[in-house]
Amino acid sequence: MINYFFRRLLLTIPVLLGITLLTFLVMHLTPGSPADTMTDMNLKVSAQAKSRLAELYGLNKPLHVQYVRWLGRIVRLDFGNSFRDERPAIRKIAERLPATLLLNILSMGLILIIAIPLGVLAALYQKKLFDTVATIGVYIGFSIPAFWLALMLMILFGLKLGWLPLSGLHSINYDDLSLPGKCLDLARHLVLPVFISAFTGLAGLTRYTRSSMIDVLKQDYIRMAYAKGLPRRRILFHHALKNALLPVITIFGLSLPGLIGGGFIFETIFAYPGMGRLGYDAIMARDYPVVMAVGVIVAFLTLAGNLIADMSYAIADPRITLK
Amino acid sequence: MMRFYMLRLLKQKSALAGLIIILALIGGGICAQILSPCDPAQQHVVKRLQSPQAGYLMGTDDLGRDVLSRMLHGIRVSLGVGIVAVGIMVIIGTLLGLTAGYCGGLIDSIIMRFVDIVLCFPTFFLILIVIAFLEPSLYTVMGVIGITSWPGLARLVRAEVLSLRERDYIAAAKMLGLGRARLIFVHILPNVISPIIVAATLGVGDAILTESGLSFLGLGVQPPVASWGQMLTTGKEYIHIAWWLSLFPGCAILITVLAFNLLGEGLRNALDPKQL
Repeated sequence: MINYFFRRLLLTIPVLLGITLLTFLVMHLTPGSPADTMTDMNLKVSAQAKSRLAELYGLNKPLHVQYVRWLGRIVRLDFGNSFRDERPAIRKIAERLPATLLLNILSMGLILIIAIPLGVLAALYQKKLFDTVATIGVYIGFSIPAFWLALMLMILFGLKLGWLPLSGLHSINYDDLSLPGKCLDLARHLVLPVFISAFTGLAGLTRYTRSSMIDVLKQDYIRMAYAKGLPRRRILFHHALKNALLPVITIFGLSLPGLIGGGFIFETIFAYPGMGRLGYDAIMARDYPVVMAVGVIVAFLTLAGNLIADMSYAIADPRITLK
Repeated sequence: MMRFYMLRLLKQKSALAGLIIILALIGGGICAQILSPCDPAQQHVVKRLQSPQAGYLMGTDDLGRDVLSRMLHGIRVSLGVGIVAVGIMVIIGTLLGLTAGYCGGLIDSIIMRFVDIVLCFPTFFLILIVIAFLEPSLYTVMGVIGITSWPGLARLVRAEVLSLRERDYIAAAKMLGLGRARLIFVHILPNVISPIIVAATLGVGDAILTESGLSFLGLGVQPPVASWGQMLTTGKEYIHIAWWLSLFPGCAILITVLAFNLLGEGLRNALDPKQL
């Protein structure tokens, strides 16, 4: 087992390198250099000053030299300073990461709580009314533009009804609140983003649980369990669900990048202080160090998530032989 | 055979509904010029922000343009982007998937590691980076969505090819001395076509959703061409006083994407021998 984990871990090294290389190349091969953005607005900048800037950031060196230098620095988690406010990119990310993780963990939890029972029930009542309604419901979530849903719900609950705050993560008077008040304030700000993120991400897991459950229910050992006269409830939860949920672990791992990255537009709409909005703002401002840092860190997180999913699957399913 | 699958597809009500909606949209898109009551770019500043009424069934926008006409012309953008982007996705994904699955060895490892790497990034992030640095236009959006969305398909095709490669009929074909290209395109490709069709149909929905998001951020199709995502940007500005500017384009995107997803799911069931 440990041998397998170790090998699996070694296999991620080329992928890690690839992630950094891809981020680097995409950023450097697209037109427009950061030295241009810093000086475009200033007509007095001479060509000399531009080349000094390029020299300062090492932009005049050949690409591979730049890449190796950059790689050497990011191993030490030094992503350079933001072009906009000269603060270290890694610090800006460290500020935003908790908010994104909070949002994603909550919505992942919500997805699990809703999608699995929904999928199981849809499988049990296959082609009945419940199945149809559930199917159409999750498909609507999958098809709806998240930013539009966000807008509509903000208008409804934020403006018309006034039940929920419109944007951000804290109220202005957050610091003056007591601890329970702080929690309540945070919860009120999180309701809409978490709901939207979960609703739009429900489809994959629900459909997968449904088809996996349908497959399992056709197996001989389920018929055997019925023949033995076991109670239906025990068969469903003990024999069927356990087996049906195994592949779900993998699907869950695969849906990670969508969850982490899905927030680019709606984090912007909600003015939610997360990675998605940081990445979006940085891209728009051509803030190279921050964009590259966000890209690398989001990709690393996804890779780690997939790795954990793979390994949990290996542990959970005794039929898998680890070589 | 076609007839058999067609019947299996049409037997599913949701897939049928999806198909009808898509056909209606295609019809609406083609006849947009005839069906539109007004010129979608014609401004009547006196009649700006009119609520839905006779003459302006979906109201008018901030420049007094007829929303219904703009909606109809928006179909062209959405379907156009969806179909072209998916075309690019299918070509790249299928070719790389076939190559990786059939050749195996080092080529397979290289292609699949690359797929793993790209899949680690949220697609929208990659698209944003590329688009933000290029001139935003209809063609950029089509191209960028197409070249960022193929990795999933490549993985799917490769998995299918791997299981086909060991079949007896392929061994027999090899023994007959068929060339590699003929083997891949004539004997393997037709057998992996059904997952490709399903992935392509679902992909159109995805691409339309992405396009609307990009246009909403102002990075997609540029004015005066009407696109639903970009209409939503205007809708956001006037959301307090003009609900119709946000409601109609949003619903249009939802219904279109939903139709492609339902059709895709229906195709999956119809083409899968285990189902029904």
